[in-house]
Amino acid sequence: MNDIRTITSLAQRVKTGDITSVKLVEECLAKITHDQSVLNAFITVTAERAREEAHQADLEIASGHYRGPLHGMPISLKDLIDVRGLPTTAASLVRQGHIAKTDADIVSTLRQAGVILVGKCNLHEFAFGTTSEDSAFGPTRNPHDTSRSPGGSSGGSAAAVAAGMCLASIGTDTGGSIRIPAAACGIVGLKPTFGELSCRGVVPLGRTLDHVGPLARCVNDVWLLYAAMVNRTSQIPPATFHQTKPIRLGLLRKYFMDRLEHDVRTSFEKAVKKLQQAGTVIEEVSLPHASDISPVYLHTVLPEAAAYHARTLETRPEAYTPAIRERLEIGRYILGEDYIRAMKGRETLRAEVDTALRGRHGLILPTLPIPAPPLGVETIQIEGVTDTVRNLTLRLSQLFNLTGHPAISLPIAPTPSGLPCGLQLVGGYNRTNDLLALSLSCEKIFSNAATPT
Amino acid sequence: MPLKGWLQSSRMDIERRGLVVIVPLLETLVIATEKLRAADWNDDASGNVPKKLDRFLQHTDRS
Repeated sequence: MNDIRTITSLAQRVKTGDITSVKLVEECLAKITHDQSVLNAFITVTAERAREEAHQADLEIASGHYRGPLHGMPISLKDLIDVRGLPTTAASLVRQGHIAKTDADIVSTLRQAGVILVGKCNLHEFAFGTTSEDSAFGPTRNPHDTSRSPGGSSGGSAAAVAAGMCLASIGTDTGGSIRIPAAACGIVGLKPTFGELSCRGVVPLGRTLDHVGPLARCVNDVWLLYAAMVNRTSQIPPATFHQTKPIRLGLLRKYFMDRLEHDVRTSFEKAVKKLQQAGTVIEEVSLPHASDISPVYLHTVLPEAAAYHARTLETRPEAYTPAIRERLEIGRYILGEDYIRAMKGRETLRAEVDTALRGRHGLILPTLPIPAPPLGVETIQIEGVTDTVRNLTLRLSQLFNLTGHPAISLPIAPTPSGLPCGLQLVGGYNRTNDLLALSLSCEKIFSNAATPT
Repeated sequence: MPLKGWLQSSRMDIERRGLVVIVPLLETLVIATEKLRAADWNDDASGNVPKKLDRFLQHTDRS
């Protein structure tokens, strides 16, 4: 494993020519060559194109046309996002032969910022799963323990960043698909406020739940990518949080911490204590309808996904992996009246999250109730209760897709066996920048991100 | 559509289409649907809103 390289730590060196974009790209490509056969994090590697673009970036920077901290930085994209001239496979045979005609909106803005694309990452087929196992290109493995899943659905992105195959990646999050793999792989993953980043040119899963967002090794890197994608590169990075006032957080304990694996609970409670020792005021808050989150989510995501896939379910059902086809098919049986009930439920949950945030800088809860699950395992028992890996992995993240509030996963102390753990912070609606400022402060307090060895 | 009738007709259609493999998923879904329909936020054409929810919604806003 390389030393921990971040965009933030390398930007000044690239600007001054102390290190070249070509060198950074070559280092990432070497890491991909070395680890891809085990991790299977990439579906497409754009080595030659990346080398050419890095060379161009170096020429531009040397001639005084430095575009900013992302200029010349090698990143990857989840293979659900269109890049002109490349296939967008969505990890599915259904997409065989597809070549994108244009760049997704966020790819255009990232290109303007000068990033170099080294490849497109593996994922759970059509982003409809949380383990990155069901993929037409085979499962992705977790760099911390290759017998385990990297989480999903942006599992290839998280594995690639954690392993140093790229400095950052762009994923999508419909129920936790950025935050779940970020937590499972020990990196940072941001889901901004709903609608802030364009999803044009991104294969949808649930159109009212889908978000695009960055995965990286530190909060500031995530901020740089987020700012580039919303075209706010002229703003300065958010300063560390209000120094004069204590941070006030609402801890979502009831329901959210009812079912936590022992080592995750220990790691999370330690992180909470660290925050308190640093002067953070943490008060318990609860959501009256928390136990309704899962039914509301199911009755939203299933019919939305089924609607997008209805035609290919009829014409090419065999092209889906069996588990994805089954999940999509069940969505076709949900009634319109129940979808509407779920929409009403979302309004209620949104109001409850707003209320819990009132007078506070954010909400705090674990990202995942379990560490990265072993590959091939479908159910896990926690405190005598058996539940599916899918239910457990979505349990703490899906709410904020329903409500649209921005949420981020930060790495905290790993479990005794060395598996990463994530802590989730949730910010006010349309206040992603404030959430990032809060996250910078918390990251400083934790400063113990897990990295694979 | 009442839950019982929906479950029955869905199961029949699933079997007709040769997708019996998804019947367990349907049985899981019906539990979630039952819970969704029982939630106190659901509309009532009589105009009666559960008092607890009404009080809560009156005191929430998006600032």
